[in-house]
Amino acid sequence: MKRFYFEEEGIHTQEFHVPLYRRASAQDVFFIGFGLFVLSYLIVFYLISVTNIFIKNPMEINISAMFQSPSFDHLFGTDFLGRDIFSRIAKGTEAFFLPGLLSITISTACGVLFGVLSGMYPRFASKIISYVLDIVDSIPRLIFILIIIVLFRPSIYLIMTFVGVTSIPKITAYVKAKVQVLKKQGFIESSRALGLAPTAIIFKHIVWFSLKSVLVIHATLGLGEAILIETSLSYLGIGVQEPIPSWGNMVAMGADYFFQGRVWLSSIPAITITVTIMGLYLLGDGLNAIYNEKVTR
Amino acid sequence: MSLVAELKKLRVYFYDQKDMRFIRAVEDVGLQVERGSVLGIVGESGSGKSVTARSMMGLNSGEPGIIGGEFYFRPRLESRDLIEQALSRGLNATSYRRGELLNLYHGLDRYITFRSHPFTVIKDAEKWIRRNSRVMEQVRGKNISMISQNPGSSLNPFHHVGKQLEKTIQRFSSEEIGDAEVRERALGLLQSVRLRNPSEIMQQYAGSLSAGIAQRMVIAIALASHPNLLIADEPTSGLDTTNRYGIIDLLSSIMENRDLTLILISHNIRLVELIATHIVVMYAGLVVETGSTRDVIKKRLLGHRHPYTEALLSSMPTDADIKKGRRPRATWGSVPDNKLVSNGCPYVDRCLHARGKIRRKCRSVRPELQELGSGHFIRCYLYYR
Repeated sequence: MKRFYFEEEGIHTQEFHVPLYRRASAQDVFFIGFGLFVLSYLIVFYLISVTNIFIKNPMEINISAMFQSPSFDHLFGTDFLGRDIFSRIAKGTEAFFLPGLLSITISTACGVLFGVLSGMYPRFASKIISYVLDIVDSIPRLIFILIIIVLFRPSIYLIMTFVGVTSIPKITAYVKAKVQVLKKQGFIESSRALGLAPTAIIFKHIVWFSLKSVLVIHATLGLGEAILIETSLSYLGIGVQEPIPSWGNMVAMGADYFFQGRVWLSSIPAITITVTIMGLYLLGDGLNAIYNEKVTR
Repeated sequence: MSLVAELKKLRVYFYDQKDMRFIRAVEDVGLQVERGSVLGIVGESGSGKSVTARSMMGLNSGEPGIIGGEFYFRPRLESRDLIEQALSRGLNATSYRRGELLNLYHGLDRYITFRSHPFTVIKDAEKWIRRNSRVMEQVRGKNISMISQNPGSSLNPFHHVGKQLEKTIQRFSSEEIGDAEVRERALGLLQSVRLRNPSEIMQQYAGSLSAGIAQRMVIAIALASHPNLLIADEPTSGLDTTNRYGIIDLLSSIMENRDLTLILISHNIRLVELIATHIVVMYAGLVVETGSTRDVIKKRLLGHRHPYTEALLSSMPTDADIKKGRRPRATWGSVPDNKLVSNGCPYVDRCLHARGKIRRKCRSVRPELQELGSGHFIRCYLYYR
């Protein structure tokens, strides 16, 4: 009620700490809700495909049921070999789910470590870390992925490890900037004056209290990016190979039949990719909007 | 008379990366704090009060500055062994002891070399910082606690203030205590700092507290660790007048109830005068006058007071002074730049008393602290015998 009163007065007051539910605008609520919906169906699809409790087997070829348009029997229709597209989309999450998590874990863990080190101890660590990360940052990602595929093997785990490593510099820069602001705050000095050990200050007061929201946001954005890279590689035919479904190779295979009027073969996986990535990015945006409170008065 | 802390010839220099040289922040500062007494440090901003306090806490070490001198401190019995362990590490001598006092800066001189012409300081920074922080980690909190300048920013903005107080109580209690016990102690502490509805305030965030309440909260957190020595660095600077006297009154009542020694730092000499037993007046990184409050402030005879103390007092006249027709008088000029270290007295440019031959002497040679009465020292040629 108080908040409406202030808005009627035409005074926009930003309270220092406003509860989360009061900070969120209608747009933020929509973004976050949409993002959570996307996340939940990703998790459900993944659980279905690991436990293998499909209604229709995604790998089963049925020549008599080729090119069926969406119906109650086949929710998203069937493809050129009569396989159920809905089940294949569910199965397709397997291609990026764990590799994506791997990439996020690598980038956030190393990013936080390097960011905190170079933010807290600028004399000792900052220069060498920034040199190394500048080199990593200058690597053209897609070309190097192709080189990796040529040199080793087209393993999605290898590719996602590389993606994780190349997104370390971004997170490091963010964490470093945040740590540099936070460590000059009075409450950090007060906790030092109270005799708290430096490691406790770094991990409790800086990383856990102040950075966890940032990390959640970066993780969502990172997952979106991982999906994008996996699908684009599979679309180009250098990611997941054909009988095993992936959203990217489903689009590529279905594209041949697009102008025959069988649009669902390629457009349904394509729409799924769009909605999913948009959902994850919007989730990051919404969280960013409500979590980014001012640190100083 | 038993001392809690004694600072001898403290000097702190900061490194200016732009000009590639050291800047004097504090030089030749000495002070003694007796057990149960209140020591007031006064001076304008830039006179080195906060630097003195922060180097007593070991909080200056993060920057590439240097600290020299001796800091004798009487720690609590239970933490004495740990401090001695940290002090004797790498050294076989026990020269850090002086009676019950321990020299917390012992062994730091090894890493620093002074050269006077040209003035340079060579310092092994990493070893210096490591040793200093190892010793000071044992001292901070349990032995020395600090109330810093801005109460709002010294509380974590992301958590309930009550939680921060409870965590501090848990951390410094000698035995394991349950949540209910912790909460009870927290409420007791908050009542002792005269907060009216403690259980409501504990639910709030730092940003939604008013400055006076936040300062009381900070004092409660500082007291939760049962310190020997409490350093209050401008505890009243952001507060309105009534709250200001409330905090000073609170501090003096806390002093009565606990075994606590207080160092009160302020630029407001009239406020310090209220509770301090001894006063140190600082100017441009030097102690210009020190003694008991009676000696420094109440003696009316000119000839027993430093011109700078005179200027501080006349800029804030009391009611009695105003009745006599003494108006507040501003001193012209400001604190000299720390980069321009002169050989003479730093106050000479603003001094209205020194004339003629004495003034020429003031410009060329820096005066030393001279004892006037018992325990009353002054750094001025006007009163040299």
